[in-house]
Amino acid sequence: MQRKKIFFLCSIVLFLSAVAYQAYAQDIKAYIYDEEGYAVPCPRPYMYEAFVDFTFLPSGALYNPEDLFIDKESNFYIADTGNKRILKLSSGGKILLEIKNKEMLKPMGLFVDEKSGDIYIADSGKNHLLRFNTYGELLRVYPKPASAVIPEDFIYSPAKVLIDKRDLIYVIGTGASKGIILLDNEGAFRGFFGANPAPFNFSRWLARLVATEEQKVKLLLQTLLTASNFTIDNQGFIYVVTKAIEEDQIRRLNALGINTYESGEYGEKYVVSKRNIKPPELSSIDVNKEGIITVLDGMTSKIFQYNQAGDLLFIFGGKSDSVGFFRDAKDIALDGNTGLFYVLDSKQGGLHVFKPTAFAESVYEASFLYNNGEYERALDIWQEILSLDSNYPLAHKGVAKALSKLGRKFEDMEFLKAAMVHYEYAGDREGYSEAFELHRYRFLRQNLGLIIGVAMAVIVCTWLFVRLFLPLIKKRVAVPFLSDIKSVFAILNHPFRTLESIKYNSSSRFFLSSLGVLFFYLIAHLISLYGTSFHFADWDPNQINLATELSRLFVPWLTWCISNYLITLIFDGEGTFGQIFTFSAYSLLPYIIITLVLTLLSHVLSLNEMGIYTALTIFMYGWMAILFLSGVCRVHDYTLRGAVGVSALSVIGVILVWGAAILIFGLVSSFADFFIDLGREIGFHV
Amino acid sequence: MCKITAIKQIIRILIFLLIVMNQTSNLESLEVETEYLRMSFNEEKVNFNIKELSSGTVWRSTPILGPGDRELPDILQAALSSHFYLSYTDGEMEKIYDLYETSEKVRFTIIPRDDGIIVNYTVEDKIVDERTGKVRFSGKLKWSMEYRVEKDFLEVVIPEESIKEEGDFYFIAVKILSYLGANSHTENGALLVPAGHGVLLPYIKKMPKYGVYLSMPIYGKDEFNFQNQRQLLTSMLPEDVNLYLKRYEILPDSAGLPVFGMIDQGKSFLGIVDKGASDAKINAALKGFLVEYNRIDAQFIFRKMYTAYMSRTRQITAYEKTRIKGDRSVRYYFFSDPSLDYFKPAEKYREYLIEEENIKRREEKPALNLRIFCGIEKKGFLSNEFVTATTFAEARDIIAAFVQRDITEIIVTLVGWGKGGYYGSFPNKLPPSPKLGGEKGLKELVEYAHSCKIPVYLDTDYLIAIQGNSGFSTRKDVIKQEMEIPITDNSGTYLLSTMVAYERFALKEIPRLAKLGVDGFVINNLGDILLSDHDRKNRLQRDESRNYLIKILQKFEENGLKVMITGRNDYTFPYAAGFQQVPPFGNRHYKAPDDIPFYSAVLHGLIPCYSRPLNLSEDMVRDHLRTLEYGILPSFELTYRDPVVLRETSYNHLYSSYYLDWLDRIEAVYNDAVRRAGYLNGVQIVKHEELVPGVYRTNYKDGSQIIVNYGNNDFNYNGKTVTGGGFCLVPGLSAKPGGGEN
Repeated sequence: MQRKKIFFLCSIVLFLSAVAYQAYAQDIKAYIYDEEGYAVPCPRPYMYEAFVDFTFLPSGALYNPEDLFIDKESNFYIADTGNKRILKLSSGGKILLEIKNKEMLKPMGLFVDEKSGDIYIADSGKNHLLRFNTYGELLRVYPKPASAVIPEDFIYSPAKVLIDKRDLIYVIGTGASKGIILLDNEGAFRGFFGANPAPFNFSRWLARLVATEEQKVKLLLQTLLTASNFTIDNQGFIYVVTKAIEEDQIRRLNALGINTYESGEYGEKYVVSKRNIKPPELSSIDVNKEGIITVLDGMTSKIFQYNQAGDLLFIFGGKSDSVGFFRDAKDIALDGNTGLFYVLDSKQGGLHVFKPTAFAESVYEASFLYNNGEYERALDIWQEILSLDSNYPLAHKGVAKALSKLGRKFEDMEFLKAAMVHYEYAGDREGYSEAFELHRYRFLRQNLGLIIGVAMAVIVCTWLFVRLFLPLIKKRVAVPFLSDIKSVFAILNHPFRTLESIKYNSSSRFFLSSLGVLFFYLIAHLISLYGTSFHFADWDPNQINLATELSRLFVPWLTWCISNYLITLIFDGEGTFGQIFTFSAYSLLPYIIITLVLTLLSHVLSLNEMGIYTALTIFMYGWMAILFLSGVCRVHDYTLRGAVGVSALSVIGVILVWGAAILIFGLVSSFADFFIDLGREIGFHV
Repeated sequence: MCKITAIKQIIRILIFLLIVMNQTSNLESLEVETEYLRMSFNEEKVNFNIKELSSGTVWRSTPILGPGDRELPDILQAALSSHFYLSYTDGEMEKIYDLYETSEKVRFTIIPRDDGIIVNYTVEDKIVDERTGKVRFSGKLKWSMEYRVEKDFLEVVIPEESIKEEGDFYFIAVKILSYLGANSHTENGALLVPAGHGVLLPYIKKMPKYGVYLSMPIYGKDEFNFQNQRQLLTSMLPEDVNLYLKRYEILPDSAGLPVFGMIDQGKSFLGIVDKGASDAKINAALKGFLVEYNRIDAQFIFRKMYTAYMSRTRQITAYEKTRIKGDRSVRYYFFSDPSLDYFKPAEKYREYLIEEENIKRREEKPALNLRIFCGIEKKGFLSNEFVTATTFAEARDIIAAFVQRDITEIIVTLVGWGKGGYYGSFPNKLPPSPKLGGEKGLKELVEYAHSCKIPVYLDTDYLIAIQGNSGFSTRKDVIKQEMEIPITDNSGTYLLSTMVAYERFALKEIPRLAKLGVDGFVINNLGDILLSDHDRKNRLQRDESRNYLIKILQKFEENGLKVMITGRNDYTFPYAAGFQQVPPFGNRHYKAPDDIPFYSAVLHGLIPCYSRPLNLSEDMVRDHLRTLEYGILPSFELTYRDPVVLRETSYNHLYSSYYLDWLDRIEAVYNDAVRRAGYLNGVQIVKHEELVPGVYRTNYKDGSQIIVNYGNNDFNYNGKTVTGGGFCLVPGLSAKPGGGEN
């Protein structure tokens, strides 16, 4: 028995220490995402300084600490949850206060009121709040608040606590309690604060229809998503992070509990497996004087920094045993006086200390100026940042904004051109469009005479060409191929006549011209992909791949042809496959023409005139739809109603074909996997 | 109660005395003596003592329990008194068994010889099926360990021909002399582990909560994780974030040097793995890990474990079928030194390198390494698009800008110079990219550099192979893991088998490379990635892989080309003209002690080392001080154009390299590292210590001293002020007159 126990112990030790002492790896940097969603390396914002492991404390090291707070005098408060105590340390590491109290069972969160110096503790062991004075004497216990809105079986288990300037107490609870609970200074319930609207859920909506009043309250509580942590800034805004939601993971709540922060996705999704991608688990937040928001993902131990405008500044950290990484980061705190950054590591029971790099300090300063609208003052700093990291998107944006301002002020085209380049690097389409508009305005004003002259010349030339040259060509050349081309264009002004001719002529005659249309369909598409001006192109030209473009263009079209043929076979359609192929190809013609026009227009229009662009796009698809429909109508000799019905069925057919294809593919690949695995197994044992 | 414990105590002391007497009486039965060492063997047990004659200090092969020690369970007692620790497996190759010398399955005979003894071991074992009672596996394992004393060292050899596997049992690994010199009562001392720049694990005074144990393969793990190669995969879509996450997996840095040591107050030893280092591990454990002894040892691997992925859900860990062959040996050197210093072992290893490995001092001038990044391909619509950062003509302008400032003690390394730019056409290296100026442009550049007496190196690689490039097949010629799975990043990057790299590429290409007129090449990855290849036809063990790498290096030498290498594995020492990309600060475990300049103590003055590009460092002051402290020469990586052009390529970690931005800062570093401290390039480092926290002093053999101050406050050193973030040079004998003075 004894021996077994020792063995057991040995194996634990072996395991633990094997994990605990893996050392040394290569230099790893921080990164950010650019507008296109690429991870781009950037300089680290913080350099690792030291690790403080608290073994020097006479009362023993930390055990599963949960919360860290730094006050204005740079004193450290640590909720040493596992040891049921609160520690107050000076910045030099001298222990100033150690609070242990029988009322304190599981101190999860702590907050120090700047005015009184009182320490508020959220105790989720005894499910109440505690308030100590600066000497560590228990002043008050706040029990579970009572209210008609709170149901009897509501589990109150406070995890984090915060006091605002009006002495209101904000509590985040774990377990069944959802949302932030707002108490007054006497501990009386004031309501729920800043609830996260839960996404719509059909079953919940059904349940709400039949629920009683009491059940409705319960349901409401369920829909309020758990806030995981919060902090308060100098102006009284409360910053809340919420776990496991798809967007608005960070919120900046005003006194009314309304979110005033840029809506969007924050943090980074983490990948469990290829098909299981989970939303971020932001678990801690801190805001410094400059308004830089630092959040921690409790799952991955990564740290994200944002500015007040919601721009991502840095991502760093992560799980590892190397310096600059954490075993299990629980809380973060910035020391406003020294600028040092602290990460509380629960598994290692200590603090990681980081010092900001010159690069990060420049970014904070420039970002602060930028958000206050002082673009020109920020320009020099942004340019300095670009000399240290020429890829930093925010710096490009800052430079572009300042240059565009300067360009407007001094009416300088060069500034505007440079601004456009920087906007493009930053991936900012709206900014680009703005600079573009200014540039266009200046250009028009400077070159008005020239532009009018060129326009006149173009009109005259076209008129001459149409009037004089076209008849000559028409007379001289009488090649059958040309008549095909004519038939192609005829579908634009005489669709029915063309469709008749498709129906009553051999479809082999139109085969070449159909192929020609399909070819130009591809060409026009590619021209639009590469030729569209940056502010209209919401795709990344570097990601374009011939195979995907081909399949995107032709697979739906081809399945349409097949599906339409099969459906009309059932419904007595008269058209042959060749005819369907021909009219379906011809119907793509508006796409070719209007896409080219749109591509040209994108170089003239700004995003403010987006309406024209969109209207043309809608017109194009409408025209194509009409051509397809009239094609079905004429070629198969249906009534309009019949044609609409058959077309709809064909579209459903397309979906079915794809479904079947996916199914077959899945089956075949499963089969293949099975045989591959079998082969592997045999190979392994032979 | 009290009485019983007292009696127990007395019995324990008696037993202890008995053991000691027993051992000491038997130990005198056989002795071997050289002018430095006397070794006394016990003829029945294997135990031996080694006495260093000049000082009289004694090392024991296994420790003896002292009266104050805790009583140990049998299994740990067996571990403590064993000279080996054997792991083996049965015919299924899936389970692992282990045993010590004291096991009843072990039988041994001792044969004395002139210079030591040979111990022949036989292990006989059988595995019985519990249900049926049938014998499933039975067999014998045989090997011998030769102990030999020569001059000032003890050598332990496991000869290849003595290793025999009879029946159904197979070797996995053997640890040798785990408890040589193991101590439990010494308070001041440390274990020397060759990780990073070198690490001393200091003995723990108070009993810790958890043991500290470090186990590292000498040349790193025999695996390659593409995500760890920043150069290859940097930019990816959010869906691929998991790939990005994997990059953060921290593998232990390879030790690179086949040495380990135990440095106690008064006595220390250095172990050098002489043969079989390719598949050997160094294990270090501090008091409190299983037993209360500090110890360090070498472990030889005979079969590696691997994970066989049978299907998406099922995986098996199994052991390789073929055994790694070759002799294995470790040398132990013993020192007696009152100070707690690793410089004696370092100097001994340096001597060993010079005498046994025939490594000569490189006659290189101290220089600043200027890496110039030329170009890279990025994915385009139909074919790849070439992104130019610096053409050869522009590189010439960069050099001219430096020459104009009288910065001439530099070497130039061109990166991404080949057709297809950085890695684009690999494994083919030639021709130089026509987009950059072609062979003619390159030759003009080299001519110009040579006219300024600046050597030019070209950056290249013999590991990476990109799918679609000619000359190799992704089925036959790439490195495969067990079960024939090639190592790839799944987007067309493979690793070339070292045999193919040598036979098909190096042999043909190197004579042609020599015609480019450059001074030499920088070979990436060659000094830190050593992999076995599990191709069914051309199976290569790490040792064989290593031999091919050495052949490549020899081929360069034959053709009159110098070779610089990234990674500092010891097998490159005879050929390396220098090392590049040496990180000033290695990544380390946050509880691990700071690095020590062990590499510098061994290599400085023999082979020059160049740092990672300092322009990519976040804290250049700190990194610059570290290069001065460790005697590493500085590097910068520059481009002629704004590196924003690289932002969509996989080389976008080069984000600050525009040469005009960096001229002034490089000149400042050049003044410090080359103009002032450059003369120390050929001088050996003899001492290094921390004066006060954050202030370090490095002593050179000629009496020069460099004091660096990482802190913010000024430090007064013998009347001289070392400013915070600054350094001070006290010139020694070989300083140039006028130069070097602070």
